[in-house]
Amino acid sequence: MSATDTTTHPATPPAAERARLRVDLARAAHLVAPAWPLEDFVAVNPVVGLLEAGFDAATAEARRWFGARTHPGPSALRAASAQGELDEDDLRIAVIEVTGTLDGPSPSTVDQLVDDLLGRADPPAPPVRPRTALERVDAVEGLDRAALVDAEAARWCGVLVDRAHLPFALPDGGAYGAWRAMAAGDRGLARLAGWGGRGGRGVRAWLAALPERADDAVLDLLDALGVAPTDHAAELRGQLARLPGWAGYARWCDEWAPADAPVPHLGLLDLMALRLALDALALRGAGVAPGQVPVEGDPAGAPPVDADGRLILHALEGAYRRRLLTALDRDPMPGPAEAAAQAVFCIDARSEGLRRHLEAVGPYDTLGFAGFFAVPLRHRPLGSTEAYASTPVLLTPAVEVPEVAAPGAEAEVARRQARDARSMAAGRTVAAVAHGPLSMYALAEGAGWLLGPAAMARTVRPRPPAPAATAGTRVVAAEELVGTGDGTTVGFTLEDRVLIAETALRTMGLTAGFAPLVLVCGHGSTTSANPHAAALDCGACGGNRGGPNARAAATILNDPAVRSALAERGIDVPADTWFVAGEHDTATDEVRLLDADAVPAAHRPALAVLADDLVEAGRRLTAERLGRLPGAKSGTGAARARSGDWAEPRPEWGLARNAAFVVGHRDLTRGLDLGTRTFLHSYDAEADVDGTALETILTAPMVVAHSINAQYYFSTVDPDRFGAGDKTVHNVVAGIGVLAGEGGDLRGGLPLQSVWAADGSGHLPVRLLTVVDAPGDRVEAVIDRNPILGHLFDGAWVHLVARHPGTGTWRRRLPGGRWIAPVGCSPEVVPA
Amino acid sequence: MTGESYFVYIEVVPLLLVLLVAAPLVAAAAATMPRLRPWSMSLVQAVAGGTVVATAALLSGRVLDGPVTVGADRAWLRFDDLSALLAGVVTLLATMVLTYARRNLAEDGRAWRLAAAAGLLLGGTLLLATAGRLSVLVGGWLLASVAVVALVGYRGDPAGRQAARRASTSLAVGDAALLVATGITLALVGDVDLAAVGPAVTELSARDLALGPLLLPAAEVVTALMMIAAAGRAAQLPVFGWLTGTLAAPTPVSALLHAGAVNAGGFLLVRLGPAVEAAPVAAWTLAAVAVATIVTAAGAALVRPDVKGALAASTSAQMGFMLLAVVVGAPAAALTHLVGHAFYKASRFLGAGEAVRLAVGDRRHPVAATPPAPTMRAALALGLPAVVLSALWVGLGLDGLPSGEAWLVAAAAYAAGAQATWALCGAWDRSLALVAGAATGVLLVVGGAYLALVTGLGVLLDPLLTHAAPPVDARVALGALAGAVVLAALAGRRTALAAPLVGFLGGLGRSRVPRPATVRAPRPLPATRPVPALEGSW
Repeated sequence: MSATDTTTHPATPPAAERARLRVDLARAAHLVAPAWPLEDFVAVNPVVGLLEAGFDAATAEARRWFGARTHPGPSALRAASAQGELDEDDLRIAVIEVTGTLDGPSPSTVDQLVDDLLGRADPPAPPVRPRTALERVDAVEGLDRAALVDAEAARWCGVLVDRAHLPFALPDGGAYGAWRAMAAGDRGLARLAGWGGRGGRGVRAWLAALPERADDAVLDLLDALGVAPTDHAAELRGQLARLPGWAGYARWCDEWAPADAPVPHLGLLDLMALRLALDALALRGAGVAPGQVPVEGDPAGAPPVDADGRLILHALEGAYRRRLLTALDRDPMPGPAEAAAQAVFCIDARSEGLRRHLEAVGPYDTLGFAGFFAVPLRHRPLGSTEAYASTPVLLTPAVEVPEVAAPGAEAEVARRQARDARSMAAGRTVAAVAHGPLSMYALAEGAGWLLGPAAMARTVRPRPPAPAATAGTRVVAAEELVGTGDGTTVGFTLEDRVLIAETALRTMGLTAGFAPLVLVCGHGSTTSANPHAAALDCGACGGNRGGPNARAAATILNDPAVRSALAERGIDVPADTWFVAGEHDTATDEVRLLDADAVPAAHRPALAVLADDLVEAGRRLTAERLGRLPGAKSGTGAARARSGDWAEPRPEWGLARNAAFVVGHRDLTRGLDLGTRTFLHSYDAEADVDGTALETILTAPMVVAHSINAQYYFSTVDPDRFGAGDKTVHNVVAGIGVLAGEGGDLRGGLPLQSVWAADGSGHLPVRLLTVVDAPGDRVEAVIDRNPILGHLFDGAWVHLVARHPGTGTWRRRLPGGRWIAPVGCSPEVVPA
Repeated sequence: MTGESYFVYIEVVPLLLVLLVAAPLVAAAAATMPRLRPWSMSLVQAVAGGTVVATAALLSGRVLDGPVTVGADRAWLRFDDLSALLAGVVTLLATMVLTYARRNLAEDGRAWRLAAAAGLLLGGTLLLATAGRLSVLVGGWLLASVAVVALVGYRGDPAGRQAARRASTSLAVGDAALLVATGITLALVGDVDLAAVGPAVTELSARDLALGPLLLPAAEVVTALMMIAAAGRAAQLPVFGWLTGTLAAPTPVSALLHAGAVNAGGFLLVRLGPAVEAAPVAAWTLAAVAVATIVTAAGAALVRPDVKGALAASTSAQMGFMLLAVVVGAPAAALTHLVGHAFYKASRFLGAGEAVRLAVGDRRHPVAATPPAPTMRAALALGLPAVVLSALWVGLGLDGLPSGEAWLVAAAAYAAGAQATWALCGAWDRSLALVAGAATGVLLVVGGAYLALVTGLGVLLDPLLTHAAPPVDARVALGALAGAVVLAALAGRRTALAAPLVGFLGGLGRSRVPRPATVRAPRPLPATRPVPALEGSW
């Protein structure tokens, strides 16, 4: 039997066919969201490709293609009830609203429904009907060959993404070409094809007969699987649905990876060619000819509806909305008349806690703003050869802001760098010896006697690593030529700096009443042996620590040239106001002040007081936070130990329990304990009559907040399909992702321990509730101008509450644009 | 020590030895009791900590008073230096890993099973370490085998169960071989006192086994069977994959297995040293298996894209080296390796999650150094360690080392020294003279410490190790290994050869791809809990 028996290779397919394949593949790929490598770990809505279809349709697609749970189960109700975030009244209201007719169910029926719901077990994941040709063959015979293909395909994806580390040059032709060269030695393929004894030769011949180009191969292989051209998109979608993790990574490679990405490219076409080849081999093994593959009109059947899930979600969201709006329904609470300092924090939900405690400790006024502080920079840490984008992923920053030695500290910094270079060289040498096939034995033998005690100490008394030193360095925010001769220009032009400063100040509504000291505080999280560390860092900085952005923002805002330009534009920053940068470590709640040695002497006393108050605020927040972390001891020491503990699967809760995005002045929320569940964005409605600032807030930071919220939501409702699963079995693959255990698909989303705890204290899955302290008609105008907001609000991905233009009372916007009272029974809320 | 306290001491110390072995087993049993389950992890952790103290106490007793024994005449348990070494390693490791696991698996509703299995593994390994006679040693071995399987599958999830099945099949082959070997020995010469293996082997060597028409030398057969057990536990070819499969279990389980359980094979062969010497055919075969495993597993470790998979593959290579050390007559090197590798691998597994951070740091600070010309670099890498190590060899007075030990230690040190010098030339941005100077300093200090460590351990354990002519010539085995590695490295640069090799090596260790026609579709599961991986109190 020659390789061309089932895969006949006609002349090169015409360009039209290739073009149609690209269209089909792009359509199929809507099912999976791009997955960033772990070092950035950008939060994405896992069904973002189906965003335009709206929440209900998108989740229905996810159920039918992935067999995923898309709505919270009764266990989430019990968790919410245990956390005090839901009571039986909330449930009763939800039951009445959802089952609501004019008559309504009788009270006893409602009570019965409520009891029933609270006591029920979570439903199983919805069944999946065959999606691919091979699955249909399997279904006939009651076999599961497709699972074998999944395992092999996933294994190959790892090897292909890691291929830069192989000691030889692979042939051209991208990942697919590399696979063809390497697969020749894989004995598993022969077994898949049922070739048994003469496996090696058979596989080599078959691989050699495949087309050179991945797209041609996909077309040929679809033929070999008996898929009609009209079914190509459905087959491809089915293939992607079977390996969503690597498919998401491939989408990232295709659409988001920078040209100089440090990992080899694995595109969707490569992935498809590889998977379909394995499917074709398995089909040979099954002895089924292409013509005999069963065909199904609708590959996945009608989308099942999860009625209970919708009710539960409705109850959880209603309960939270009622609690939040009840709290907000009060007179604004003004801040201190003379603030000792203002502090600008990231909108991150964790900042809410620090802001609340800081305001309670002293006369401080706090603001919320996206943690990249409107400085779209590429940061190059001291001595690094690589600059990384530290902005929301929607931006592609062009300007580099490096960290360099500060004037006068060059010698000290050079010494530090030489020391770092020595330890890097030592580390590299040890790594080389550890990997040498002849040298690794003596190394393990010798190193073990040293590493053993170190590991023991690290286990018994964990301590966080020292943060990267910033003493003696500065970030170059203003345009400057670095290097000699053909050096490159870094930093922002004056025009850019003024624009950045003005945008930041106007958007957050800080245009007057500056305190003598303004803290610009980014955030990051220090954790140990944590592949998902970036998930705890600043989302507005693309999964990086926010310190460099805070330093750049403070530098720009202290710049006399910028100040005078701002004055011309109507923002008078007093000469005796100083901006100082800081970074909040969310794992320990310690705030590190950055570039503090550059602070003028006149501000030093105030800064010292602020530093002390930040310590106290951090201490209080730690106490609050540790109370919610299962198994945590109390005290700052405990938080530090947890932060440095390599055994700890949950160093902090991150953004778990996030639920709302509040756009408004701090007076609206000051003094309220919002339980670190809200993103708080400062906004001055009176100064923004045309809605420019609001438009920026809703289309940029709110979209990021939605992505984070959706990531937490889906990782919670199905930790296996949308989440990364149990962290304790994670196995980092190719430096870009994790596997659960030995193999299987790349696991996207958040680890189970980031959203769930055995005691029920984890994330409560609700869709984001955006509260805008501005008239509804202004919000409506902004929505009209921005289709993305239409998708989010009308598609019910995000709920919206704003002020009634006339009465000023809170109103809730329903998908489609009707505004209703936000609290209470509103039967028409839920479409039948 | 005099007077009354001395009598108390000699009565208490054997009791302590019994306690050392029994306490983890009792704790394991207790951990399974429903009422104790919530505290099972703390219980076993505390007991493991206690065994560290007990080991230290026994060691001090041994130093003062000779081996501690339980049972008169032919001892059931005997705590000698070799026992102290293995007991020290496993008790410290178990304590560390359980401390880690207590936090890492705090929310795992089935962690009590892990605690019980870890207690069983600890108890079994301590029984193995302190066995005074062959039958006891085999008992400890079997307990540890059961514990390994229980550890791998403790969660009861499908992946874990499959990995446990695989491990049990692979280990069962070795265990069966060990049982047959023990049966033959018991039948021919009775139970063997492990303090007097030599005479028993001599007795055994005089006997033949009739297998149908074949008349086989009994010593060869028994040793060969024991070597099968050792190789299986050490994850050598062809049963290489079970160890990779165990990655289905959480990180602490991997640390326990790779650092603790796989070592038993090396220990067994060192303990039964005279038997190895009496079975040249079996020893040569094991050497060949070890060399093949080293080359293959080291290759697989290079190819595996996943951190834990690469660590698992490298364990097989490391264990191959340890077994090789035993058969070439370098038991002290084998034991140094056992201890060093155990701690090395445990810390690598526990810190496996650092991979992402380390990769980013490495990339952002790439090597700025321009390495010297290849010939210069190679000359330095090959020449410098030769000179420095020779000087150390003479300086430390190592001429008297037995030949197997000498060759193996020298070769391992030289390979590491050459690799380190080569790497340092490319990693440190300084003048060649400075790099050479630094390399010399490092080689002197690290190499000296290494040589002193291995030979020092050899001197300490000398009375327990055998010194007859080793069955396998170290030069031949090491030459074959070096040759194979060099050939593989050369092949590794030629795409046409190397690319398919990657396909082959990458597939090694995965569960065998079954014939598609035999893969049944899973039956629909009953309604699952919200979080199938972990049982919690929702």
